[in-house]
Amino acid sequence: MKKRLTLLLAVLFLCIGGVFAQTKVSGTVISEDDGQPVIGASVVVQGAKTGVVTDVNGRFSLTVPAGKKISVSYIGMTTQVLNPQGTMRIVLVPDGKAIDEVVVTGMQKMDKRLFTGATAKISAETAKIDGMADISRSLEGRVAGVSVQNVSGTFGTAPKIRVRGATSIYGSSKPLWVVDGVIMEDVTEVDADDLSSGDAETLISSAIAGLNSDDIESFQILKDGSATSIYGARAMAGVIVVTTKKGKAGSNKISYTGEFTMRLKPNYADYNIMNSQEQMSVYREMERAGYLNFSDVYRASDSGVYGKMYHLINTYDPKTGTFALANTDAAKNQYLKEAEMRNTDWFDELFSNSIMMNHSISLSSGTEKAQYYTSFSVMNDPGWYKQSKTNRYTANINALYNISKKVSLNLIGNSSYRKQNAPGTLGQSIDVVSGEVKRDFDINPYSYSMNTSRALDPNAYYVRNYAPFNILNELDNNYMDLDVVDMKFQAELKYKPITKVELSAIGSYKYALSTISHEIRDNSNQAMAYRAMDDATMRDNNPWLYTDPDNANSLPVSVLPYGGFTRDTRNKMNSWDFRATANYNDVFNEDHIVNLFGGGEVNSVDRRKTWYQGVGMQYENSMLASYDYRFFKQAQEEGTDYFTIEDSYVRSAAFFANATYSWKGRYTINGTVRYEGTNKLGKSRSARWLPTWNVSGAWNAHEEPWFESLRPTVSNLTLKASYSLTGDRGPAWLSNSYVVIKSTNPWRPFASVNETALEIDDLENSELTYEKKHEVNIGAEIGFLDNRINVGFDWYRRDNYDLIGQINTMGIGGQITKYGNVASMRSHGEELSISTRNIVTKDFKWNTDFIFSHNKNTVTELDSRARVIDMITGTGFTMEGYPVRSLFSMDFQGLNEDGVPTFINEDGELTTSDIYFQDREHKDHLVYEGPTDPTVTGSLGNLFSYKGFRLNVFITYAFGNVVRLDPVFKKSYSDLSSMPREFKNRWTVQGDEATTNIPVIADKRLNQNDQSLSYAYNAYNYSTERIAKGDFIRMKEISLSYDFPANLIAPLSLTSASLKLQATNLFLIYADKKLNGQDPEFYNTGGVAAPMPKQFTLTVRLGI
Amino acid sequence: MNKYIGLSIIAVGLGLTSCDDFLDKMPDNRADINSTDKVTQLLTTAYASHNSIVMAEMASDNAMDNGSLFTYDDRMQEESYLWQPITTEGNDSPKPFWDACYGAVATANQALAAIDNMGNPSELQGQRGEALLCRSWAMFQLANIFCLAYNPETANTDLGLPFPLAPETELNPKYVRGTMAELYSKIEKDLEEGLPLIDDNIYSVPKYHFNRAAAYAFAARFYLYYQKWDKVIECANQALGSAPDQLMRNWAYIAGEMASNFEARCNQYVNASEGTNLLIETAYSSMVYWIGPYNLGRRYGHNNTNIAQTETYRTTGVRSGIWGAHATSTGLWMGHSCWGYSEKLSISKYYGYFEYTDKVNGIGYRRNAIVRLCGDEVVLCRAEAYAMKGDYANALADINFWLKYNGMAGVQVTQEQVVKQYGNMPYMEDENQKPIVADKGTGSPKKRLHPLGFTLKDETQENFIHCILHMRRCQTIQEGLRWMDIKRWGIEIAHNREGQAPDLLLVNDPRRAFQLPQDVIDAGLEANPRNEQN
Repeated sequence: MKKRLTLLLAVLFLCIGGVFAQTKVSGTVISEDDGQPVIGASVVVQGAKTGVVTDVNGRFSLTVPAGKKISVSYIGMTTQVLNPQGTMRIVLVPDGKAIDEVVVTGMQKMDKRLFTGATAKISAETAKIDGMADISRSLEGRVAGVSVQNVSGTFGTAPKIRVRGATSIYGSSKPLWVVDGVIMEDVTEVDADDLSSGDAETLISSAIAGLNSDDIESFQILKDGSATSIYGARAMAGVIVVTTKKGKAGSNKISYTGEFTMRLKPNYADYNIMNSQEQMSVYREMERAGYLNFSDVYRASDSGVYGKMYHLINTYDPKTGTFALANTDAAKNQYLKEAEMRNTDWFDELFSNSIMMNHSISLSSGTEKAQYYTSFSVMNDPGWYKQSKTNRYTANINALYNISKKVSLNLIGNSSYRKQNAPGTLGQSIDVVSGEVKRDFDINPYSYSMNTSRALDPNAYYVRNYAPFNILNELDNNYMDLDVVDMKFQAELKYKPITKVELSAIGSYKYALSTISHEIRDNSNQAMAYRAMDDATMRDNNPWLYTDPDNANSLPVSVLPYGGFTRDTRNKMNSWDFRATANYNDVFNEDHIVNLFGGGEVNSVDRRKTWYQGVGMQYENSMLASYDYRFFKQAQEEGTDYFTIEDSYVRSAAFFANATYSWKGRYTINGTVRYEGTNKLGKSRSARWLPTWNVSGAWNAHEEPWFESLRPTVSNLTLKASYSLTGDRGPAWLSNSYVVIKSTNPWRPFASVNETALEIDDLENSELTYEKKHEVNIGAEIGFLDNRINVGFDWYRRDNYDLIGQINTMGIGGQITKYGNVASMRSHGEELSISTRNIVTKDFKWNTDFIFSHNKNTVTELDSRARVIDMITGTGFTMEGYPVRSLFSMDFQGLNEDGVPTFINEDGELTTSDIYFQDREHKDHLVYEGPTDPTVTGSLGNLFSYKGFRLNVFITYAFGNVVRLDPVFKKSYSDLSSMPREFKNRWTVQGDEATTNIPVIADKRLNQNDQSLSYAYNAYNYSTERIAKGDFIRMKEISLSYDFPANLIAPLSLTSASLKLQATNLFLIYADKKLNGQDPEFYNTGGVAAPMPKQFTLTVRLGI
Repeated sequence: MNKYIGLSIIAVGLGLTSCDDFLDKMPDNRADINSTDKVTQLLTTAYASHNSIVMAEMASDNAMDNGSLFTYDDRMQEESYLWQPITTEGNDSPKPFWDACYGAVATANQALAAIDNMGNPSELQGQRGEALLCRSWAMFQLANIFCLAYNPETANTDLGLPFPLAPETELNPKYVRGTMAELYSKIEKDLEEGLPLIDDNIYSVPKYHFNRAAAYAFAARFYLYYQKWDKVIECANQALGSAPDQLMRNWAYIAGEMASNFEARCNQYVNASEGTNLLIETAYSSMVYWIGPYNLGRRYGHNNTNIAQTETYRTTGVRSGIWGAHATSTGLWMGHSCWGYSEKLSISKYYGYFEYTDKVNGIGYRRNAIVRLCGDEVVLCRAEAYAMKGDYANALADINFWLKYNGMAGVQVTQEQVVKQYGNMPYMEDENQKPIVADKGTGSPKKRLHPLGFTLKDETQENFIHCILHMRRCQTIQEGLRWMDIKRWGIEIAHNREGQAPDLLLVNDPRRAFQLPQDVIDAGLEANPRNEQN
């Protein structure tokens, strides 16, 4: 109903023709959808320019020359051509294909021709990649200006989505997701940089992982400030509006979709990892260099083949009177030879091809009075790799009931539950001193396969953290269980007191709960490390043991003598939204189309994060907890948390109004104002409330009378321009509009003088305000050859200001360096989309879609106080004059005469290891490499259809960014490490430095001469040598589908049936050779991160 | 239609007003300081978590350049020694020190604002006292480093520091420095208001707070620097109370009876149960590693042969302190509880504690606990005030009282001995009365005084001051207080520099005030002036 009211604006007014013999015709146009009158439908005499528009009651009357037919059309409905009769009742049927003609902003539906903002709509049917349970990933390459980077392929992890690039420096730049008119809040704030961290929290970072992709009807991407301005103060980074499916009047249908997906195991052939033979030869060389000797390796915290050998030599079997391995050269050589020939395929051990299934069933039915859509889905993923099993269940109800002609009620309920496993992981951390990025106890199967020597026996136990370690055993005994529940209850009441006015009230309540239970069982290496003290040397070195400071000269003891840990992280969110709107549509004198829309909304989001650690859980002993008091004593002494609770509350309220005026549909102007306030930004009204606005206009040249002369060569021409102000609340962690005082346990030298305290965590900044953006957008849409070729082009320029950045103050308030609204950046870009219907015959069709977008941003004002280490690792950071998230490198200056890499340090001196990674002041010595976000993204899609067959070849591409190669170089290697083949060309003898840039495997002497040698190797990992271009062209999807003809399936009482075979992520057509198989989108950070697999999906669709 | 528009306007109007209440909800569980307990807890962090000890020790005559055979651990050690602006931002640098002290002021101001909000009730007067003491104490620390010493003749023009009296609520407000006279009068005002309010009953761990004795001890030191001698005596009397013996360090136990174990003696030194310890603070600092017996930062330090044996607590012969020559069973107790390298001899005052954040990689914070106010030093403050008033009998009594606990073998002295001992000592200067460096065994505890804004009466007074300053130097070594004595007595010192001529710090040298952190200057606060050549 609302749709039709707004669509009234779409009316075409046509001139009255000449005088002929004629019939007087009058009638009513009704929608089949809901039985309501269609307002603004055009009724035209065929072949003439005579026509009228239906009034607010759907009535029309006109005179038709004898022998002519009338054509009745309306946006979103199938046009009907009828013989004129005296009084007619015309029922229009909705036309699914016409979906493009309506812009859904989540609050309003507007005629695309009157919409002045930059937007793009895609139907879920086109975008959906079968076998990809998280629908947000399928937006990759679908819309110009939207970039999607799959930084990790693990289910539940959000891809990094940017609409027209970054909009903030410290903020997340994440677009706002709006589902069925309601903003989807994340259960926890994982900012864009953390998405690639591999930390467990990324598993719950996707706000829409609980949506079944089969339930989605369409996506509308709102790009510029004009399109998003109705969301004003939250929409700086763009809006993605999701519309789910609804029932249709007069249609009863059961649909089933089954997807069966097989993923290929990764293959060493694609990577550049040494095989066991090559690896062993390196170990042998290390042995000659003084490493891997008995005394070191036997008691090392981590050891592999050699450590095992020494342990075997030292294992005496009293029964046989022999040692497990004889201490003879022959026996040792035999043992090492076995390892040399082992060539373990870790991918084979840890990954599987098992089939992932997703079944969805939906029921939809409807009458003019009521329409329903219900669906269930079950996803079962046995896991691509060990401990990645996932099950997801979703249920969805959408019911619309027309209580009377004036009142309708729409109820929507969504719920989903996800149960997922993940390998046990701790958070990633950076050693800022030596520059190493690391994760304790990492057992991520992908990074394990990439980093572990292929000479190891997958069934043997080696040593890690002084305790026995076997990856298969560890994955069985150290894992995380996720339980994720999402629920949404939504009701919308619409009331039409008079035909031109619609009042609407929408309320929704959401609840989300995710629990990540990290189970570290008794026999896991992580638990065993807490009690590993085989001999005195190991006991003294094992950092997981505890030495009681109260007893002078006491020996280290275990604080976990039995059992393991259970660690629960729980994120809970309760939120509600309420919105009331009023819409007024009118047409004056048939030429002046007016739409007024306004309303207000309030939102509330309460989040609670709890973390709890259970100590001494004896999983193997009927779950009895047996703890040692010293665990807590140690925790107290070291200031470790026992459990934590963090609450946060967001309250916001907003009022908005939008006005559109169009003259004959040719010239349209539009203005929006939104006034929003949130509790995050201050008590004072000045800072709390932000007015955002836009002004825009559109010119539909094809509505001009003179345009006829250009047809059909040029069939469509629209020009648009907009200027707007939108905003964002800035990073979640900054909320000091009121002084932040938190509790703390001040450090004291002795437990006897401990006390609890409160401290000022952040000074008040009463001036804290929204991050803001001014945007100019100019766009054109041109259709050629009767719209066989459609070209869309947009150019934009953005000025982001009041961005959160650091500033140095006098510090008299207690903080010299503060965060405030002091930074700014500028960006501009172009977007082009061309879609052509190359061949259109009755049976064969060939369509091509080409999408290109370019975005460039520059930070124009920022006092960057980031450390050197922040600039060179991960996604980098930025400085004035550089793009947001720029990656810098240490300036590599070749190897020195010992084969150790050299660099220019912060003092401009040539050095190997005299590097200060924490320097905030001197960064001139770093070399700028490029942004980590691609500047050019897009796709090329070709769709061929012949009768029931459809072949889709979809290629995506991204250019302009740089990626860091995996950090594989270290000051010393253990007999666990695997090495890339580059090591073959490493420096070995003096003089090699002239020909190679691969550093030496440092021998003991080098390490002893320079205690800080690790700085040199870490610097090398983050140097100009270890960078590659992120450019790629990817064969994203090839699919072939077949729709069975009706006559074939009718006997089975099916209304539709189709089969589809799809290959996803098949290969990279182009990528930088330096990557050697490393996926340029993926950040191999361990933890729960995994690359996007190559996969094949068979989809069955049935309709009854 | 008009009806609907009218209704909407009314609805929006109503909405806006009720929304402001709705939006008053705090975004998280931050504490609102609205109870006695919370004020008390907040004040626990109104003590600076960084200190200026390394800066001050390196800049003073307690350090010398041991040569490039040794290295420094942080450039700030060298920059402090060379009286240059400090460019690094490590834990012991001016920037974190500035942040920490003004952070303490901010915390105190926050507490005071909360107390005022609650109507300044009687049950919060103890907290009010502590807040005022914390604020003035932090400002006093800042003044000691970043301002010249108080000189009544120039205090109206010497640069002071901004003294905020309310929490800062704007992002980047601008302040002016004001004068030393203003700064000192504001500190005095806080003290006068706060001292009578101090209530020991509000503390669960009194030694880490301004308990009554600590508050008066601070006041005694402040008035000493302020040249208000009567006030010094009055406050010292209050601090020492009726049983001053209990407020003296039991060196005989630490250095005489305890095992020769550095860690154990340090732990004892900073123990809250030691009567002399009046105020203990903790800090993020590498100070211990540099001035303690650790193999770090040996380039600049308290050299045993060149400084300890000629100028401080291990002197012998004509340079012997009033307690006698340092030998096996004579001298000061502290001279017998020393560790470390010859380049940086260290008394067992601080142990290098480590707070781990990542045990596996040994990453964490270097921490230490520091005795900031103690009974022994209060006695010396009072002795100096008596001497300045010409009351030598009382000054001598305090000197002897100090010797009773700090000297070995129960040394007690007479006025004549004091005058003679220090009268016979050579000034540490060349024939032109210019200071000389300490690296040739030419050091002396006696350095020419250039009092600020007053003159010494006679030789007796001067020698009493020399004696007391020698005791103060030993008493406060490794605590950074010698730097203030150099400043307020106009003592000129020389620093040797390897490969260069010694650098002299004369009485009018503006480098007696450390340069402000560069970021603060960049933000617009007036920098300390510097002579052209430096």
